[in-house]
Amino acid sequence: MLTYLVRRLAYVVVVWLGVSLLAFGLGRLAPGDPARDVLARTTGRQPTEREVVAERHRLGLDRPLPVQYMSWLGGAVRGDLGTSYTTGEPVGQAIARTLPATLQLAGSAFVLAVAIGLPLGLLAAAYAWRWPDHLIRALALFGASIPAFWLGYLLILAFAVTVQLFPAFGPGGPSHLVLPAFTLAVFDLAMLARLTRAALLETLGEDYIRTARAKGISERRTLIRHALRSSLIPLLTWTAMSFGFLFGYSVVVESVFAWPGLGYATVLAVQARDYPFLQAFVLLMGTLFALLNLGVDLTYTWVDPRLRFGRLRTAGG
Amino acid sequence: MDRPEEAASSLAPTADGTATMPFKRAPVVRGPVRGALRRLLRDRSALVGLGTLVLLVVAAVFAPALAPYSPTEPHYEDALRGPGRDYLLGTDGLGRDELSRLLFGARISLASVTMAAAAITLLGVTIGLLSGYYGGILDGAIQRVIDVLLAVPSLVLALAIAGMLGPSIRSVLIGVVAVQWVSYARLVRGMVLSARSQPYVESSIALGARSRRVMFNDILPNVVPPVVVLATLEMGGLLLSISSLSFLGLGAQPPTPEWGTMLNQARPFFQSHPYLMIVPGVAITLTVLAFNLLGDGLRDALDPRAGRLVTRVRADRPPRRRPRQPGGLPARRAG
Repeated sequence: MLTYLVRRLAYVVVVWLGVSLLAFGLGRLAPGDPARDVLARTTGRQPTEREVVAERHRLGLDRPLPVQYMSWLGGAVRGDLGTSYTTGEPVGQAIARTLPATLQLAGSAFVLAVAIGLPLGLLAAAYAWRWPDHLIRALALFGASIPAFWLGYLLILAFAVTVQLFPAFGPGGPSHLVLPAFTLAVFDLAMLARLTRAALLETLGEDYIRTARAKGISERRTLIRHALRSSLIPLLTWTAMSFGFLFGYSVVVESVFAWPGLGYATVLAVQARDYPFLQAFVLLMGTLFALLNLGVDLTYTWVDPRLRFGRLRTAGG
Repeated sequence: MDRPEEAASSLAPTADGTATMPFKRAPVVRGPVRGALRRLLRDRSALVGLGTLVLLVVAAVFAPALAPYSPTEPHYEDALRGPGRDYLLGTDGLGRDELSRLLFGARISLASVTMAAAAITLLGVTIGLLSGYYGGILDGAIQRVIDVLLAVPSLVLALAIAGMLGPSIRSVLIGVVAVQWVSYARLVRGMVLSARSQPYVESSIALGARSRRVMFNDILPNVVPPVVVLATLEMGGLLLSISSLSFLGLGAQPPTPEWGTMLNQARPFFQSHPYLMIVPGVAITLTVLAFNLLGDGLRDALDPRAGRLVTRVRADRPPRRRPRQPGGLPARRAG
């Protein structure tokens, strides 16, 4: 187990270093000269050549790339992620300011997805090939096909404009969270319902389920006590994947609902080509998901001890 | 379930006597494919998806003939007209005909999603093939790159890449392709690894075939069909990613009539003129739904295992309709 843990940790460090290279490289991928862009934006006129050279030096862009990378990474490890090109605010501070709102939104959406998706999948499996199943499958397919941004506007039109039930934009009390969290949850919820149903139907074909039925245990008890429990294992992978969806689509949903989170800040940073912010954002996401995947893997080995001695597995994140 | 002669032909692919030659292509088994096709054609919801897609392609191809107006020419005096006789689906903030924009938008959306899927498949198959066949350092390096790309949620990474490259439909496609090829490469690598130990590959190697020959003539034909199917399954999700990035203003720039871009431009009017938001949204949802319906049907048709499974589950209540696989979207990547 210890060897496994050490190997896993070494792997996470390698991947994290790779992510940091990727994040750093992304900033260099951009066409044009960041120094010139920054000057043009802050002064509002075409900068002179001398000013550009000075600015490049100030931003450290005239140093060799490996040196830039090492100093960026060194700073990142100590929590210094550079300063935003647009606001001049330290990037770490900007992220710390916006991350809680995103975590709140993504967390609520995750709870919604589990609270609605799991029972729906269970219901569909219990009534497989009959009308509740057909209905749930149709709904789930629809939920997986509707673009989150569009759904957000539809919900605003329906529940904030026509029937004034919930506020449409911005943060506030719990009522402000309802529409954006539900919008964000729908795709995830649909996936979970489909996955739960598929996993349950697969388990229901196992011999021990037949044994349970033969013993005369009620259908409900068989489904919940015997089948659901072992179906939960593949759903663990979904958890890691699901946070990937939620963080990805929070970018879109936050910009629909003007939610002051990390996603909205990222869209603004993309529009302003704020490279330090984007680099930090990619690095942060990579770190979060490397840790999340590690957690999921360790949970797997706890649930299923055979894996400790088998191949390393990675949950898509 | 297959007719007997089909079963026979799948057992004896050497009917024409050529497939016994070791250097011929790997035997292509017809039976299962034809059976799958028949199952697909019997699946009503898959047919609905296919039909919708065919209609969309027709609309896209004949957009210049079908569209009543130019998709980009403004009619300022008719701006923000609701749906009516002159403009069936109304006009946008600049008085451009919404229906014409929708029809021309189908071209861009379908073309971009097809191009992205093709590029992803090509890249994934090539890299997966090299990685799986040669193994060693090359494989290790490629796998680490894939690990890194999988570590960041795909939409987030695609957004960052497209954002760095500057807004255009090209950047969005590059962003999406750069992120999505990895799962294909991983899948292909796995298939190549298992194919390497198959007798037809081993015999080919034993007979002295060069690696290129083994890779392209023996392994590739067996790898491509499942990957193409997977690519079809995922085109709906791909369209969602592309239009999400367009909606954020990173994709096709105005006045190009792209559906996601149209939605982005409708944002200021969404309370006063909701039809501007509803029209392109319905178009995106319908297209994604059609792709997903077809994809689900395709997967069911290719997995006959599903039939057995379900009869075992509900032996007391045999399904009236032909049982479908307990479906779920493929375990798609995050974001």
